[in-house]
Amino acid sequence: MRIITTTISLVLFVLFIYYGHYQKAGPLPPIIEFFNPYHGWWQQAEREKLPERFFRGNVTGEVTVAFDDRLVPHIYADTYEDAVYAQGILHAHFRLWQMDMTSRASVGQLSEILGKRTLEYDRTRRRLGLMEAARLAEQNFDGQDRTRTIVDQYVEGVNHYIKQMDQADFPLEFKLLDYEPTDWSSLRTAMVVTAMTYDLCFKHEDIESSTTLTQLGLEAFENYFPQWNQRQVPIVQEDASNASYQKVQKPVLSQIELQSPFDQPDPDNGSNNWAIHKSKTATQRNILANDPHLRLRLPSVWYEMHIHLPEKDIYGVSFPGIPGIVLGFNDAYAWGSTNVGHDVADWFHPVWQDSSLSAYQLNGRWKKPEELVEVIAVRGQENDTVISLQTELGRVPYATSGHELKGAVFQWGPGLPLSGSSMHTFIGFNLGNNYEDFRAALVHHKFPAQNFVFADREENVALHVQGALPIRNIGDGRFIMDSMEQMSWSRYIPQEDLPFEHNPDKGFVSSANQHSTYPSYPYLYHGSFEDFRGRTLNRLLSEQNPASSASVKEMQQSAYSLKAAEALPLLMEMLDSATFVKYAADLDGLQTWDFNYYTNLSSPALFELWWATFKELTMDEWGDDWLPIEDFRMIQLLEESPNDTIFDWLETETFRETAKDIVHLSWKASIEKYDSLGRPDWMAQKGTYIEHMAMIDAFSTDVLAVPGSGDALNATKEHHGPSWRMVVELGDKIDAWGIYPGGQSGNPGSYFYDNQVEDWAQGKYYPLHLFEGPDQKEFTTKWTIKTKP
Amino acid sequence: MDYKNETMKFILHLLALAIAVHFISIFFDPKWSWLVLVLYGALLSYSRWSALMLGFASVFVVWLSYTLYLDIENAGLLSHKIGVLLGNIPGSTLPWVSALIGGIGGTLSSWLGYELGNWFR
Repeated sequence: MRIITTTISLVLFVLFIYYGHYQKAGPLPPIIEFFNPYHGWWQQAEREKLPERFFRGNVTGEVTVAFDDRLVPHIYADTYEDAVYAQGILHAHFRLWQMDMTSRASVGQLSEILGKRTLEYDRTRRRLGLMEAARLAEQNFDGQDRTRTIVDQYVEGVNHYIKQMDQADFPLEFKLLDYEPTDWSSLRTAMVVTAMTYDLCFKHEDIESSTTLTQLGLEAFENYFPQWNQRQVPIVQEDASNASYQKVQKPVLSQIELQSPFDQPDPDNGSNNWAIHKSKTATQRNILANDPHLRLRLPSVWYEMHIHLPEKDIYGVSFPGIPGIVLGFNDAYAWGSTNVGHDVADWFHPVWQDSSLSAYQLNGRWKKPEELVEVIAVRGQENDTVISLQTELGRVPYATSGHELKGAVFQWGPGLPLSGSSMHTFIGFNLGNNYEDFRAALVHHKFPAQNFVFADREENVALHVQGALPIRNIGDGRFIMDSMEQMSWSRYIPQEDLPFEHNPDKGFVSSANQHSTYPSYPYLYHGSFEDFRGRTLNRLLSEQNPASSASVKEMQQSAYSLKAAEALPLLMEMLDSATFVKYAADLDGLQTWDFNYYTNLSSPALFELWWATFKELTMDEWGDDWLPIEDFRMIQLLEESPNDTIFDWLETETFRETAKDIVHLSWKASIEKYDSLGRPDWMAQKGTYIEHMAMIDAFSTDVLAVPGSGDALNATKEHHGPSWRMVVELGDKIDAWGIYPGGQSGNPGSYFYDNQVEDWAQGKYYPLHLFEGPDQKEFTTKWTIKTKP
Repeated sequence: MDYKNETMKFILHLLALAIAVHFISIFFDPKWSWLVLVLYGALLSYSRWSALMLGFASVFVVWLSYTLYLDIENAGLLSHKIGVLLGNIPGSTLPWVSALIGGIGGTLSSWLGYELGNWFR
């Protein structure tokens, strides 16, 4: 009997230990590990008040970090290097998992954690050479003396925090995914830089454009895809360049038809920024505003902070994983940025000696490519291998498979050795004292090209288009090119010829991802540019007389869509309303709608449905892999060419439809669909919510009542929108306001995980304080870092 | 009288075990608390029934108290989210779920200890 009971108790105990501590329970980590209140998820159920902490680390003097009531850290340090050490500790404490995932996702290392479900994603990232781009970015930290030291200090700060963690401290997602943090490095910082670079300048349409061109022919393609929108108001409204470079010539095109194997970055990654000269403001102070539009997610992409040095105050938002403040202001000036849509990614076919890609032609000679073997660690199974080729023309992502892009070279700006690093730029911005310092820092920034806005406390407002913008050897970069024996580009628009505006007569500078210049700019450029927000912004700025911080905030909240204002009247004019008496109230609503996308209205929901259906029926002959016609051109066709063949509907072989017929058909289809959807208002239809990085619903927000649309200044979409709103008023004193949709902590169990989301949705702002010292009544907790003995 | 003594003994053992489990879990790996319960079962328990009950109760009480404390301090923010993650279980039940899991571990540990101790008694 004793043997039996002992054996049973032993077996049960061993099973309990084995399955409870070492075996995953389906998607969950081992059950005891997870539910143990001392090491498991309960440890992330934080109190509201952050505990005091003390560290001894590699700082030259004592550093005090004082947290305010939103958990924004105010770092008081003797040197910038000490401050970024503290920043490393802070980023690690509040955002370590976000840093880990961002760096892994950037270069294709997710499968090491997530297993085979992310293997295809990793393979694509490896093929494209993103790890190599990160290595190049890391090498470029060396370009300026101080940058390397600052990055190293930051990395040391992160690792200091990681080393003192035990299992209980691991962020919740590490526990859920059942893995442990590993050391940080300057390469991992570069991987985070590369992640943002990819998001902002990987977008290219060469494959879709070539497929569409092959189907349509050049004449029709140029008709439907003009390079310039006649109504556009560019960022730099006068030709600020004396350059005399001649534009290029006819492209050599590859005739193809294939589907792009790549997920493109979010097409709505964009932003608004502007600066108003003090001559146009009520307080006689310059005003700068910036709201970068990115994918909305939790933990938030931004981490807010203030650095106080003996001679300098810097406030703004940082990227977890990267030292310094990226967007913000110091005690001399403010800066912000929006993305420049110039195309810096090209595909082309070199001349190969044979189908095994043994040699390619370069300047009339055969050269052998180098084989690149990338090993991908995959959790729970054997390592995977990806083989690419490296040529002097660029990288060949598909070298061995039977893929349609086999042998094609991919040339991407950030993947090319080019000195200059955004790290030099942002450190320079942080520590600069005037416009000259700002411009000196600017020149180091290469990728992703940005429209940097500037306003100081004196007389200066400016906007600079900054980045490495290619001058192509052949063609314009829109299509896959054939028989290339040289790189797609090897030169860039010279720094002195990059467009900029400084104190223009109009009294303001602005950008909203539209074209940088008028077509008279002597350098050819091509890319993805916004067509509505920029014009709205310029109109509103022209009407500001005088402007104030309050009116500038109102502009950031504007839910007005110029796309709707231009498209809807055309649709309404062509619609025979009498045929739809049943829907007279809906049509009346649309007729009287002021084109503001407020959440409680049905008209925005109805219009968006109608417009989408109209485009779908218009482009019914378009294949899934074709380039869609842009909205501005669709409006133009509707207005100027209602009899264009594009409006002919494939389903009716004998009847030739016009735009009027498609308007009728699309209204009928969309109103029926609207009924079937239960007649949602704009809030329900748009469904803006903020998703957790790992798409865990429980850690995401509910649908938010946030006005706006993709074409409004308040550019909110389902997963996308203003990721940081900042307004800074600079003169004899500095007043600043800001907010981002999230919270300072990346821990779903923190009071500060998503505490700002509702206020953000309601258009509120928080004052951004440059507290002079750590002894303020507003501070709730202090951390101290002292020199290691 | 015997009943009272038994109860007092049970409570004292429970308190001693609960304190041991709590501090071992805080200062060392929580896995060591299973070993403590095995040792208790082997060396100090006075019956199979008491071993099973005390193994269960000591971990259950400690884990329940601690999780309730953490949950209250956290205003139920995280337990609500974990509850949703686990299929919309009410967050307020999760301290009990955790305590039950711990209690089962405690029972199995002290039972094993008791059975092993029997070989030497």
